[in-house]
Amino acid sequence: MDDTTPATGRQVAGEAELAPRHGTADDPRMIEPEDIARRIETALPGARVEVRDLTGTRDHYALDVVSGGFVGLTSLQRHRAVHAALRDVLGGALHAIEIRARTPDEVHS
Amino acid sequence: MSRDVMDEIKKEVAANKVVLYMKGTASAPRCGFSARASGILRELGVPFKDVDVLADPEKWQAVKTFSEWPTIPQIYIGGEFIGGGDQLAELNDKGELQALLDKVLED
Repeated sequence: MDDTTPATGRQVAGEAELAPRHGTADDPRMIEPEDIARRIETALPGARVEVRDLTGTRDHYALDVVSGGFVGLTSLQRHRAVHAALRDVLGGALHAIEIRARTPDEVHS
Repeated sequence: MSRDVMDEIKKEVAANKVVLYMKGTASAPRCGFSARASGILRELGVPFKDVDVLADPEKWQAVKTFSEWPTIPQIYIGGEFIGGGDQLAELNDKGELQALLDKVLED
């Protein structure tokens, strides 16, 4: 064990953004797509979740969520339900998400 | 003297018919999601107040609480919270955004 190794500067490999990182330079964590899907499936049982990494950096994702639980909810309410499922990681390891939230009927129509 | 940011936001969304909380400014957005949202409004040619949360970290935190919405951008039209970039794009795709803006802007 070598506990005395000095911390090296965090490297952001291949970071192509012109803008500064999303204000969380102190939080280098990332989140795996499976983790996101699992959280949503737990909150919305029976939901079908597709997770796409938008930037290849494991912190910006597009989510496609299909759930019967969305029936009768507005877009805003559906998104709030997904946000609630991701409460613990959103704004931390998860910087940004784009959400498509549909009911099974809407997928088929 | 501490700053009441929640009150500032409340007044901001009441005083301006269209407000976009975003990263960067409408002319120089600094996040793809914010760029997309401001692009929709610019394309429709509506005047809107762009609030750069990167320039005001305190407001950045406060607006998330104020709207009970965890991400930026956030849009207010006629003092009402519309949602984030997805909701704005959805309204626009459905052709409802222009009607909503027309209604709010003529009042």
